Amino acid sequence: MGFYEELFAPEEDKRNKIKITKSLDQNLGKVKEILNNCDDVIYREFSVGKGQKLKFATIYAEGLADKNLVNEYVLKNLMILARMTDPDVNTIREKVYDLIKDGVLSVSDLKEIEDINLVVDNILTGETVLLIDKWNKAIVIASKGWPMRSVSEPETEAVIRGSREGFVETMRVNTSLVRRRIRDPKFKIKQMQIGKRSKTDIAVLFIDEIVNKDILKKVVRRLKNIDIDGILESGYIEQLLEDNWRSPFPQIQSTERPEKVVGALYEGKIGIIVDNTPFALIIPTTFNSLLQSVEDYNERFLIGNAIRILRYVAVITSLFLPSLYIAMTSYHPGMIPTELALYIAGSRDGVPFPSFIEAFIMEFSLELLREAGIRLPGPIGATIGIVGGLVLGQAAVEAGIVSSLMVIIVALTAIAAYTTPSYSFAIGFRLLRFVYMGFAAVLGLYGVMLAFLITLTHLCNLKSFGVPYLTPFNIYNISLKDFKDTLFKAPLHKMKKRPEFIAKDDKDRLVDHVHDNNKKRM
Amino acid sequence: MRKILSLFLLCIIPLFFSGCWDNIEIDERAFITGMGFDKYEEKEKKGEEEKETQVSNLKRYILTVTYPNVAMIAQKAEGDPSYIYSTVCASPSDGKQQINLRNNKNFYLNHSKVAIIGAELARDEKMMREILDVIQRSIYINRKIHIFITPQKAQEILTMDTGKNMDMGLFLEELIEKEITSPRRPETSFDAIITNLRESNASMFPRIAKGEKEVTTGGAAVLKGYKLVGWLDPIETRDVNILKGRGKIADYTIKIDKLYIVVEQMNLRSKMKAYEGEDKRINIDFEVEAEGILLQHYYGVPGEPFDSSYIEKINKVTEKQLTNEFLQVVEKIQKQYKTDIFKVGEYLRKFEPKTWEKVKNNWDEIYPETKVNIDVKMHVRRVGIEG
Repeated sequence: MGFYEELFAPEEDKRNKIKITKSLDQNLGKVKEILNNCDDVIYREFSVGKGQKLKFATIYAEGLADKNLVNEYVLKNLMILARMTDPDVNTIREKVYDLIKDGVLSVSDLKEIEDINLVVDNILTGETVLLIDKWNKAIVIASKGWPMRSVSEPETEAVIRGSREGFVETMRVNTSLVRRRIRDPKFKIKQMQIGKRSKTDIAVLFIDEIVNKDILKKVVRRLKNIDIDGILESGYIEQLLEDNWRSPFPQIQSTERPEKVVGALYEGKIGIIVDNTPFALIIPTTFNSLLQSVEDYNERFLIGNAIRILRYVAVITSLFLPSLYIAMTSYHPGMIPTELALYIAGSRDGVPFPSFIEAFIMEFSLELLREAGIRLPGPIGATIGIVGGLVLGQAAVEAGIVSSLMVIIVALTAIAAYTTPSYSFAIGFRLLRFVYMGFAAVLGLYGVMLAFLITLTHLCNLKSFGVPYLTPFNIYNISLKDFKDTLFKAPLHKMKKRPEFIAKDDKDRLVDHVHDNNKKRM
Repeated sequence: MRKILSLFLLCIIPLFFSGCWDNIEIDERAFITGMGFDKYEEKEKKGEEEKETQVSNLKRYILTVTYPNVAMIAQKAEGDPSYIYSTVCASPSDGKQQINLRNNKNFYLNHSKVAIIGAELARDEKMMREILDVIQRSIYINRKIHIFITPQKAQEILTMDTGKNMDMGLFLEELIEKEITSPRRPETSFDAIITNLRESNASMFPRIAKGEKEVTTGGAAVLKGYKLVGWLDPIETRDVNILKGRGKIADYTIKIDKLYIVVEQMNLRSKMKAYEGEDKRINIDFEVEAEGILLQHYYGVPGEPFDSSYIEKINKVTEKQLTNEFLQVVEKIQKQYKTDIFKVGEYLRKFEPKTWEKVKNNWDEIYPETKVNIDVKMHVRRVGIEG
């Protein structure tokens, strides 16, 4: 057995095996017994052959299985076509099973099983099971087909330049979206089921030769350790897999964009696609990768870099701005240019709250607005934004509860926070912002620095599946090569290697690329 | 439990180490922009100065501070542009304590812009050194604060109306820091002045005076060893600046063939050299080389400024006139005030150490007797447009 087979070897079924007997009635009885009170399961018994001597039964779950497929290619073939042929029951009795399997069912994917438990499992995943009288095997006909959302643009991660495709709720569609972008046989999709009751399908995606096998081992081991009744969303997997649940920073990236997953796979990372959710997971995740957007790579060197730097500045702004404002206005007005200091003092004149409370009120109401905007249906959500942002802010200033500069600070902070490509990352920073504000209110600039140092210490300590979270900023043997895709992004033709800290085997991305006009003129 | 306790301690400990409990909201501070120091002179002195304790008030200074009305700056309220407090006190710090009893805002010096010293105080070396030390020692006052000496009282200057609905401190700061600077004023920053004082025991302080309605900032007060010894008018100050190489832009009114014409100086290179001459006297050479524009001539004489011999004549006359003017100023400083404003001593110490060894002990006597040579070269390059 190869490395991957061993790694992904399924656990043994601990249930008692219930063998399929030769009696159709008996088998049906057993299935019905297990699936009693499951009214969505459809049983259809029918007879086949010239003499109608062979009894058949199909079982499928309504809504999960494609009814058309069952009708057109299973029942029709068996009932009509099988009757046209003239099986001599006596001579081919033993071979009827093979005949049906190989010659009658015009369905591309067939499996045979011998366990009633597996029959039930398959029915519940949307397959159709064909039971044949006097035969101790069941045929599973791939007939999964339920109503699903079509592929559409991801709403949480919009880009200007980039693919408009986003993941949907069906795992199979999602893996196909990834496969379409990697036509390499080395790209592997390994499937497993997690959840005692939900039996949710999970696909682990990686590219052989590139993937870091140590990390892969760790991921699979942790996945196999999960023993939960149900997985409703990839967030469940994320929370059960991550290294540090106390941290405000996500250690596993989630994304709706197939190209993001593909990009990560090419770097040697591992993707996890969970059924029933459009959010795929990327492992391992670093601080740096959460600030990268697909667009950085699609845009040209200068523009991509400008946007990248802008985003870093925005993150720093969103984290520090309110706390610095508090620290400077209440402790160190000497650090503000005189004219501005006087203006701030003037605009705060008559405001009844200390600047911390003032900032807290504004930030808090902003968070309220944000949450309300998400919960409300589209058009009303936009109204809330306008009412809250414009009217409330203006009214608060006019009422003299907050100073006009505070409104600017809060608005700027909010805008800066929304530039972060990863939602869960941004929300972590948003939380930290309140902590920083508290520190600033108590200890001034010293407090802000203290909070920053604590955050930094935590970040340095944090690991995502063995990879330091701050890579490549805090690795031991620091070299310029590791910074090719951080605050700055090197031009594409200079990024010849995969990131050192993940990819171990095949490190080359790009063979020496010479721009045409640099070649010697012939 | 232990974990929680240690976490709790971790949060508490920094609070004790901080000492940062000086939270004062920005709108509760009085941003002092201007400070005035005057000598307090009682009509009849009753030996007040002999008192050593502060049982009853020692009266030595008049401290005046001004801070702007911030609500007016933020356009939230109308009213006076600034608030002014003045008090008689034993020391500036005593004055601050007294003002704190009268003012509703917290005294805050970090944004102070100007300090004005009354001439009476400047003539008193003891008090002048006290004030300079207060400014130098304070961790709140910026070393770039602008220092002025006024022949009147600092209090009078600070209580004046600027006419622009502005605080006097901010007004003076803008006046000094605007882009078009004037050479008719010496360097104003405390840092530069104190450096000069340390290096040559003499310095020029900018002069500020109260006019009919406005304040004016031309000219300089000359200090020798922390004591006011005399004044220079704006033009003299300009000449000193030119000799020091600082006054790049200046214009001269030249009388030539009974006409007054104006030459504007555009570019300036000024070099000072000091050396021991053959007659054992110390020589001070000033070499001034400037480029000029003919800024004003006489309407209706076309062609004349295009004549190179005429331009040469302008150059000659200008050079002669300036040399005389400069010599007069240097003489005033050298002979009358006996102050080494040009840092000749410092120059000798740096570049002629052997000579300096000989003269350093009685430099004060030797300096007024040194020989001064001034060489001015003017090149009028442009003549403007001619109609």
